[in-house]
Amino acid sequence: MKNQLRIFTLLALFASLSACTDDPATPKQEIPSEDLFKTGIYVVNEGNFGANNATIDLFVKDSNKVFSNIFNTVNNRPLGDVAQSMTMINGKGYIVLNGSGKVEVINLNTAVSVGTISGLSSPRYMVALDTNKAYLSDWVSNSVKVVNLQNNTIQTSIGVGAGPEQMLITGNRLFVCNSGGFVDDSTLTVINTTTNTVEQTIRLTQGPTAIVLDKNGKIWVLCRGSYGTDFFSTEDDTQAELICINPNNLSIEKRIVLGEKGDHPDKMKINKAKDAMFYLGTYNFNYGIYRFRITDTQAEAQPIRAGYYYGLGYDRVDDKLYVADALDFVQRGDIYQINESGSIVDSFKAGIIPNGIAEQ
Amino acid sequence: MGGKRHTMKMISTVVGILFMQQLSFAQQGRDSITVSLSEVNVKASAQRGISYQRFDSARLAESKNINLQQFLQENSTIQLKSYGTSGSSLMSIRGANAGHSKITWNGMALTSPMLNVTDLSILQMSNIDELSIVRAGSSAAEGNGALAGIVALKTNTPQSNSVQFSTQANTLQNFNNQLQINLQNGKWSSASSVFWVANNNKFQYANRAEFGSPIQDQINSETQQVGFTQQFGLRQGINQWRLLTWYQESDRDLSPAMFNRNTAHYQMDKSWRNLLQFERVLERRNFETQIAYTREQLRYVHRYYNGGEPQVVFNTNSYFDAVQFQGNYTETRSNWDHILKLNYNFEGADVPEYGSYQQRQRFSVASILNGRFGQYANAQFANRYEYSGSENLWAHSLSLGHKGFVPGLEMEIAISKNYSIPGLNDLYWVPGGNPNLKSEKSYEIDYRVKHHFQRKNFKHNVQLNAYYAIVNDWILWKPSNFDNAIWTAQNIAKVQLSGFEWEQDAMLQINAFHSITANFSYAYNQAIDLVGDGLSDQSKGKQLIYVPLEKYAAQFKYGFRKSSLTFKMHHVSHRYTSTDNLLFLPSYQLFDLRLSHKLAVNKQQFNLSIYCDNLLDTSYESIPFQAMPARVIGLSISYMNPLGKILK
Repeated sequence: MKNQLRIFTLLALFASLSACTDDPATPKQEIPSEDLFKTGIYVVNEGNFGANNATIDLFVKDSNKVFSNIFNTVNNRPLGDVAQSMTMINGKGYIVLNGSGKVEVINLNTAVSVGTISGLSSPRYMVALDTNKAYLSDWVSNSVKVVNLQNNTIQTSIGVGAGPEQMLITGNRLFVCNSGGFVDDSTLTVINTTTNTVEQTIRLTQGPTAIVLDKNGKIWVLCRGSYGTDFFSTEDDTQAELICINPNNLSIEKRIVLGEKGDHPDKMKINKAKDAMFYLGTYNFNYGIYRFRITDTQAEAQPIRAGYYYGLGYDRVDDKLYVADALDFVQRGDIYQINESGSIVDSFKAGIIPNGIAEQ
Repeated sequence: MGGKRHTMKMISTVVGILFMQQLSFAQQGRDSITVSLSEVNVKASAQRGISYQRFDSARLAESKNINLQQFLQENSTIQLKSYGTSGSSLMSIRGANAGHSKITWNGMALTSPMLNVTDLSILQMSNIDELSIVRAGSSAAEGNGALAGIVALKTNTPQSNSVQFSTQANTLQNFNNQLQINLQNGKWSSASSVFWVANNNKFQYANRAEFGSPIQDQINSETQQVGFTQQFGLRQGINQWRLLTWYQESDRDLSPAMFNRNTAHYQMDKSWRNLLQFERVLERRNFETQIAYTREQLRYVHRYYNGGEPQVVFNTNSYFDAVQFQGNYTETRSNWDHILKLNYNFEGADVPEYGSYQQRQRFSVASILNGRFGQYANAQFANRYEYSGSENLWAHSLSLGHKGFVPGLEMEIAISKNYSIPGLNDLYWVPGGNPNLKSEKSYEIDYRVKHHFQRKNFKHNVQLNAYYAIVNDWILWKPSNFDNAIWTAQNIAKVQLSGFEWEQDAMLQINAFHSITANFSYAYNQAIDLVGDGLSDQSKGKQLIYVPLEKYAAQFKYGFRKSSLTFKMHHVSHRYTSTDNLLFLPSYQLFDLRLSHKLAVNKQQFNLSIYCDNLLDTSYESIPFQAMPARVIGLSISYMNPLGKILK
């Protein structure tokens, strides 16, 4: 009996002591000073869909130092699910969280949370008309929300095309790229910002996703083209185009075919001088960072830097181009600063699935 | 690409969450038709090989009102990944993917070839009479899907007449009921089992995704489930027939993640499984054959609240059919036995995202030779060939065993090669399915040492398994380098699985009134990515995500007369959520307590239990930001009436 009871005692002991491994230590994050905030840029890391691990990092250019996951460090809570974009408006950062259906608002000089815009289904991008009013594209509900920036509420909703993505305001017009969402769309919705009504819908080519304004006041829209009914064959694809529009009379002035059939570029940014765009794409399935100058009459066949990158950002204060490598999409990615010739100037580690930097 | 990629990402993620479209799928498998317990044991031991764990009927009988996920979590070292209180639950054996394990019911594969995984949360234990776990090398003869192991479930032919009813209710406002009627007269038998489950999953949790972690109610997590199993048996001399049918339907509101409580997703699963078995037993030969037909339906509605009624974003409805045929012939001699197995499988899936109806047919033949060399040594050599429709595949295993160095001591070593073919989603899902995928292949070595001791009132078993395996062509979904970065299934990883399991149980009958029972199982599983992807990739050499290094489960039961007090605990170590192992979910340990009392009134037996799960009110997560229940107090009552002779 004594031996048997010993066995039971041992069993109980094993059960209580058998966890050999401790949880890893969580590194203590440092909160930067306000000066560092002022010289830094915010990096947007999407995180994995459904994992609530979106983050923003503060990259201090002078010291090359990265303050990772700064929102969590400062506010002691996770940012949310899928950070799609971040827009800086009047000293505040509006972090658009697609998976969480909300926008987190922070003070740009401290990263302290100052508000949340909720009640959204799938927000993507935000642009400001002034310090009181902004527009927010909502991908699943095929609408643009009008946001009151004073109290962070949604004032009204404007129906647009399918899967609205990037937007641009010039004059008293808001231009909305209707990317297609779960279907195909090829339109650009023009909204009067005074009346918040749809003024016109311009038909382009399929998949308008990105939009910029050049130094001449012309709008450039990147349309990625359609994948067709299946994603494997390129036979039924439509080709990608870069389309120049005059925002005054809403006419199409140029159509530049990008790549070949089956190539579907994405994520376009314009430089500080507003005379050259950079986009992530392919030419005959050759991945890379491509450049298009506004005076070009056709797209370049060679990228300035080859390779598959996920994110793109342009620091128009210091005129620097950044690209992001998401690696396996389940670990911290890399950010590279690229010069005009495509060479890597600098690099640093970001969060999971970095997709760009905060923009005005 | 952004929007389309976003579409694809959403679809892929939802599908990923729903279907876990990662690796292979389960197939064939066999089990023996019950002729008698001893015969079953002989056949089982001939095939089970190394690293085999079987649960006793008492533990199963106490678990009729829970689902398979709960049972395995509390009683085994299998790792479970639960997508919230009403979401799916997937298993991982030895750190492999969910698609590397298969679940069989009376030899019939339950794992959907479409989904490639089995959702354990909708498999109730009410019709399960036997449950065993066969790991890795031992499962080589079972072929596809069993790369990591098999959980074999069985519904037995009734040996007596009885009516059984059990019901359970708890503070989550969850209700689980089952009724079983067994009838037999030695020649004919019938067993009918019905269950119905209504779970409200009412509990509160601290929402760590929101400022100040406010206490909030769990929402949108009601589930309803009904099902029945019917079997008819006929024994005619050396021949035995059995017909089984199992229908079940599950309706679930899927609990939202903490960070987006506006979602109100819904899932419905329907399955209808039919099985006809025949067995002919001669003195030295045994012939078994069975044909199974399965039809399943899965409906998923992705919706969210935007004020007022939930808005539907997409609504998918999928069906699949499977026909499985098995024929087994066993020849037994004093020093050896040989089993020849033939399998044919048809799988067809009508999934909107495939674009068209997809089907495949597979054929396999397996040979298992067992040799016994005197009293002390034995060996098993198993080979399996399968034509998967696109590949010729081989699985082999060789095991050598020895017993008798010390009384009760057994040792066994095995080497094996196995494979896992891609699931239909991996092959055909648009976008991203890759028809050119190859099967994943594993090479493994296992070692087991086991000791059994029994003396009068005391029984003690201990088993230690150690293993090392390499899996090549491991399938991952990643943006492709060849098709506009669409997330695509690819054979890109190479993974090393290694570790050990320790299982121990003891039973002491102190005297006529007092007894102590203890069960303990522990697993240490390393699952390491050997390849990585480029210089900057930090995943090389790191633990795979969601695979805990350690898991243990323990149970102590003290019996006094007709009462018993059971204390259970299980521990799951931290699980990484990023491949560079920088993000992780913390470890957790849960404790449960159960007090039971048996009553007998005129041969009618009642068992009353009151229990408390998660005794310490521990807050934990199986996947990030999906709240799991806090402390739960419940009551269960079971009733059994032995009917005596009824059928003539």
